[in-house]
Amino acid sequence: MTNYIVQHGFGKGQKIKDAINNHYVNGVIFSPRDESIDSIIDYVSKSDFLNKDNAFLDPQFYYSTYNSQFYGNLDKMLNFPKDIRRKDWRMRTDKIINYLEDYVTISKNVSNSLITPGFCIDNIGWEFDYSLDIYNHCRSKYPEFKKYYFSLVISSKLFNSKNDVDEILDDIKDSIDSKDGIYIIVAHDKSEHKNYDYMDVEALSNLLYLIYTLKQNSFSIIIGYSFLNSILFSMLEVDYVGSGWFNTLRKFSKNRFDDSEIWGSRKKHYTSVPLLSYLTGELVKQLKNKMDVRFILSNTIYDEPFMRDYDILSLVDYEQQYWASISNIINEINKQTSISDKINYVKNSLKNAIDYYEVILRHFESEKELHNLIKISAAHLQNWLFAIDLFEKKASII
Amino acid sequence: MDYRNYEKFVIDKLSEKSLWSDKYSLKVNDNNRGQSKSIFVVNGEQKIFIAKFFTYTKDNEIDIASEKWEEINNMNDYILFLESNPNCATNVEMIIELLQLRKRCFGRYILASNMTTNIFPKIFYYEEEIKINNTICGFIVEKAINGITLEDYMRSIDRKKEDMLDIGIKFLDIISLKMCGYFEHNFVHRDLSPDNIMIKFGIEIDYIIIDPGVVKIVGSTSTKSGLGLCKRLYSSPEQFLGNASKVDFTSDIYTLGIVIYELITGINLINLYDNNNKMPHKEISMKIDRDVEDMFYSSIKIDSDKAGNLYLIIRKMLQFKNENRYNTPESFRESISVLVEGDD
Repeated sequence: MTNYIVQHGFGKGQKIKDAINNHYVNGVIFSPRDESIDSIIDYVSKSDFLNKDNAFLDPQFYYSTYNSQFYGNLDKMLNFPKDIRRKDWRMRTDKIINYLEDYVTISKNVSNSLITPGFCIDNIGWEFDYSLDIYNHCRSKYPEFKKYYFSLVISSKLFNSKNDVDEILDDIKDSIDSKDGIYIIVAHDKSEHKNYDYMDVEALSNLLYLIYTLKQNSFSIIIGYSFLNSILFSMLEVDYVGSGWFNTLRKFSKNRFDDSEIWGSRKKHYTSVPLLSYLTGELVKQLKNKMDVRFILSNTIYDEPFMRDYDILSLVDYEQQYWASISNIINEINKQTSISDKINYVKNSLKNAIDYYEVILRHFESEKELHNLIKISAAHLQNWLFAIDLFEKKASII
Repeated sequence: MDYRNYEKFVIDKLSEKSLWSDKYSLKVNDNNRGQSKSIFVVNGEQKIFIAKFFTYTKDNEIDIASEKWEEINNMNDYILFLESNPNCATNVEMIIELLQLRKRCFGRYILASNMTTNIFPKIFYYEEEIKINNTICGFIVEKAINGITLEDYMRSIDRKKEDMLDIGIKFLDIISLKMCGYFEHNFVHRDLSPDNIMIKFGIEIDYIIIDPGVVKIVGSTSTKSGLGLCKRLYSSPEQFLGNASKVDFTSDIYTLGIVIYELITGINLINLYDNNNKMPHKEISMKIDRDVEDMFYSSIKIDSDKAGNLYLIIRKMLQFKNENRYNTPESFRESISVLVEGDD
């Protein structure tokens, strides 16, 4: 069964409390970069909707190789090591050892699980080896946690090669205790595709293959920074899938640091479960002029006001509507008994979404720009469907 | 063009190798291309062999008086003549380099054909250097394909009547399997254009790749950058830019992407976007999710899962950067297998 949880970021306000109390999500992965450690600890200890079993702390150690201007709060409390180089772990320098000590102490106050610090892996090299070493170091030196998660922050480019994925799998199987888990974040490259959910078919099939194989080997899996593709991961029975309120908390990218979306004008997006995509309120308004659009609704409390006027709902409402919608479909996937049932359920949902889009597109054949906008918002559907077929072949699922 | 000496040579060599029969006759191939001359050995209407002469030395590069040719019997003599007569051409060094490249290409042709089975037509006989009609050539006798070129087929096909999706998928399935066969031996064809693909009609259609004349052996550094060894309209971005060192199996995958798109739609994308002084491959990338996709779907009658999956494969084949195409020949084949096995 997959638990849908919040990927925490800047400016949480009431968002987490509301989403948990409304049963859209049931946990949080905290980002110490975006909020001070004291505040996070205080929040967890005082809340009646969080406890140390459904709260996780992302060490965000991958920032240590980035420029320090992007550290945010990370170096305010922790002895966060700056400009980490390969030799720092090889020589077990004080700056890393002291940081680990601090991080573990803080983690104990937030979670019963320890996500061990790891580097961002662009290719299979020292960053991967040392991330495994740090996991093993933490596991033996700090035995008091219920569960340990190995951080696997991995470049989407690496998924172009199944051979590389197989190599990663072999190393993980050799080095990580199968009772433990893996916290996976895909670091996406800047996509040339205008569809936010689009991912190269080959890379996506290899990502699904990696997750599936890890699950088959009994590892517990948390997927961080997911977007609509949360449903693809719940199809594989990952234990937790995290998604946040900004696009930057739904898709991790090294190019995210301009954070323009936080400050710029955000558009109101409605998340449609039947269409398995997001549509701007403005676009839905145009669709409504030509057809009855009730079939796109996701069965949430936001549907009725949205149908009256998309502008009635605030951006915060749309954040909740996003979690509520995805939670609905994850609950349906959870009801399917086997992985193959779950895969079939998702494939059928994708096929239905493609059919719905065909109906919509037929209404707008003469309006080229609008037709194109709608087509772009549907582009990931066939892309995912083919990636699932390819993944099934790689994983020999009949 | 007087072919009498060539015909005599073919009959002599085939007789010498016991490959000639009294029932056979010769037919000059009117469709001679590039640097080769070819003659079919036929039995009635049936083509048996094709004899090819790959000309290394060219009259338009250098003019040698016929009496001088009496002293030249092979490539070494020819190069020695050039070196001792540096004024006989504007750039002797470049001509020598071209001669050596042509001979290397011939050698790779033989190697590629001999190392692979059922991919290129079988070679029955070859000689690396012969002198004929005051030229130095390579000579090959290979099995003739009784069919037409993909180029002719693409010109004649009625796309409105035919199921272009089915034709496209069958083509991709057969050709990709053969390509992976030579990729396995570290070869890259580099000239996979429609005139180098033959179609053999029968109970089952077959596509045969011919003329591995500019094949590259991956890892070999002997091809210098800047030497264009492909047709412009079927070039990968790296070949278009003359970056020979970046040419690998993904370059053939790119070219195949251009070919299959043209087979299905009748549109050569490089030709379509070859204007405004922009690199056409960049334009293709820019339009891949818009006009290129629209034109594809206009040529496919049914907008099915298979059509969508085929387009996703073509989209990946036509990625500008090598690393964004398929990572291994196996992953390329695997995608196509899933496409072929998928539901209609």
